[in-house]
Amino acid sequence: MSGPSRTDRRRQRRVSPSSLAWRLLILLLYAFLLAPVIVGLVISFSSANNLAFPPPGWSLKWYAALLENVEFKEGLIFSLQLAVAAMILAVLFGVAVALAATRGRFPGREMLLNLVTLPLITPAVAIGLGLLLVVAPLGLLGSLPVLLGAHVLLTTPFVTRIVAAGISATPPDYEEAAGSLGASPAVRFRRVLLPIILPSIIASAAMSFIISMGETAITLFIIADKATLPVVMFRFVTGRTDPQLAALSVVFMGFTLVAVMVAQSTIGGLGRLAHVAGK
Amino acid sequence: MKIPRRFDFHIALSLPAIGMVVAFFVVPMLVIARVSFDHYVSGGQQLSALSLDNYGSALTDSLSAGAIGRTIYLTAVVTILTMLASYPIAYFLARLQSRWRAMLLTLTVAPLLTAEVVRIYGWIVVLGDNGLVNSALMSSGLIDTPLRLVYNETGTIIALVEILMPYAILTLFSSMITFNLSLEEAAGSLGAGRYRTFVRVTLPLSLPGVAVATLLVVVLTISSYVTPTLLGGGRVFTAAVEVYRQAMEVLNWPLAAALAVLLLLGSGIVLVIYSRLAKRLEMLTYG
Repeated sequence: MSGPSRTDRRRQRRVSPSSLAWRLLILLLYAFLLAPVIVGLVISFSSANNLAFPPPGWSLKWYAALLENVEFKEGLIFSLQLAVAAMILAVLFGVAVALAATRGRFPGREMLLNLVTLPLITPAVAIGLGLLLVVAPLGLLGSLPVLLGAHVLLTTPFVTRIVAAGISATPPDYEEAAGSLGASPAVRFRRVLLPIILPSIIASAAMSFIISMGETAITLFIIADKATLPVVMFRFVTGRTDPQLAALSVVFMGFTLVAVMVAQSTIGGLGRLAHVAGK
Repeated sequence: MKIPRRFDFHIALSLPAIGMVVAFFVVPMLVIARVSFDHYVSGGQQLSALSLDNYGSALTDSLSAGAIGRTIYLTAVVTILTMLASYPIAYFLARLQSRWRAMLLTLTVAPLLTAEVVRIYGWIVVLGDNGLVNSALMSSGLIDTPLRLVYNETGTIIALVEILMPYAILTLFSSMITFNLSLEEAAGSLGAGRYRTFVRVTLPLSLPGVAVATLLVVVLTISSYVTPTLLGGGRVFTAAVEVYRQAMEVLNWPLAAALAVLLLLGSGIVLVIYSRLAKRLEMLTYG
């Protein structure tokens, strides 16, 4: 995508009252959107034992308390493992389905997309309850394959939707041209379509990781003694109200932020690679 | 021209995902339907039966019936507010061409990175009796006693809107960047003003994205129970909250299953309406 032309930029520089009101609206909406995160960040450095805002003083004691909390540490590690595994499987399943639904020529492609998307638009409590009713009698509550399956079920629709939209926005002309020049379906995908839809795939992978990391509603039903981080936090917030949870959330955000930055740098890196390969 | 194939290899590509959906979704849904007709004995135990008793108590029991009404009301309010708050941000982001866009997109995703419980925590601090809003209002002399903004429906609505906004914004944004900005430029160069360009070009093009985002927000609101549980302070009973309570605390699985089936039917009806709407919009836009 090319940047705005010089005349566009000149036009944007003029600030009319309506555009000022528009900017104020955007600012207010962002303030609303970010308020709990920012306040949580501030509260994590509070010296108080309650949630008074503004904090009466500052300290790092809640971060120090985190280091001794084994439950939090184990929850974080378990969540990271689960989210990475779910992301990999969701991308594999999701891209394959998106490709089948957009480029395949068999009947029922629309139904296929709907089937995969169904878990996303189904109330999470119903999925959680259903899994509980299936796995509890089998003695599989809290087992890793069940948790992983639930997370992949929930993240695959995101990958499928985002990637299918990316493929749909790409005219099939390029692939057909490559095909008429003798490229096999595999080569057409790898050399023609994949470089074009790579940003969608990376974006959907990041989305899938985020969804899995934060998933609470379904996981609460099928967890046993080994809990994911959000579940540990859910239990903690109903029991206590001190800033230790805020400190944990800052650490939690740090981990996910690193993951997002890795994904973003990969987009840049792979994007450049694809550009070179395209020549 | 396509050469007709006897077997489309694309079918094989979809098999792993189909298998996963059947094992982790279709089977559990069938089991819910079956258990909803069972007879509840005691915590976690039920007798295989074929009775409608659970549906009867779900619909007549004042707590369960009230929970269904509360869910409908809450979903309508939260969805409207979320879409109204999300569209301007998505539109703003989609039109932004500078390096600010990446940063602001990250800021939009940032709340998503934070666990729902943490944001609920943040809202308790912002809206609580000695929180940001109340201390600001009291020190400015506008009110004498703090407003009750948490542990009730007000707090639940505020937090749900904020929690669902990133989903709506990202969905709207990704639909807005797929349609070509050059269409807007074309409208502008043909003499259409900013307002006219928005109403005649941008808004119609973004309607499929709006439909999908609305669908997402409705379903997420219907099934949310973490926020109503923690921010409702035990006063906001939605159907989803009741399913969780029956399943995990009372251990009355047949009643939980019956409530879940009703919840599924409710969201199913909404989905049918929306898919028709979305299809019609697609026809209007591309047809």
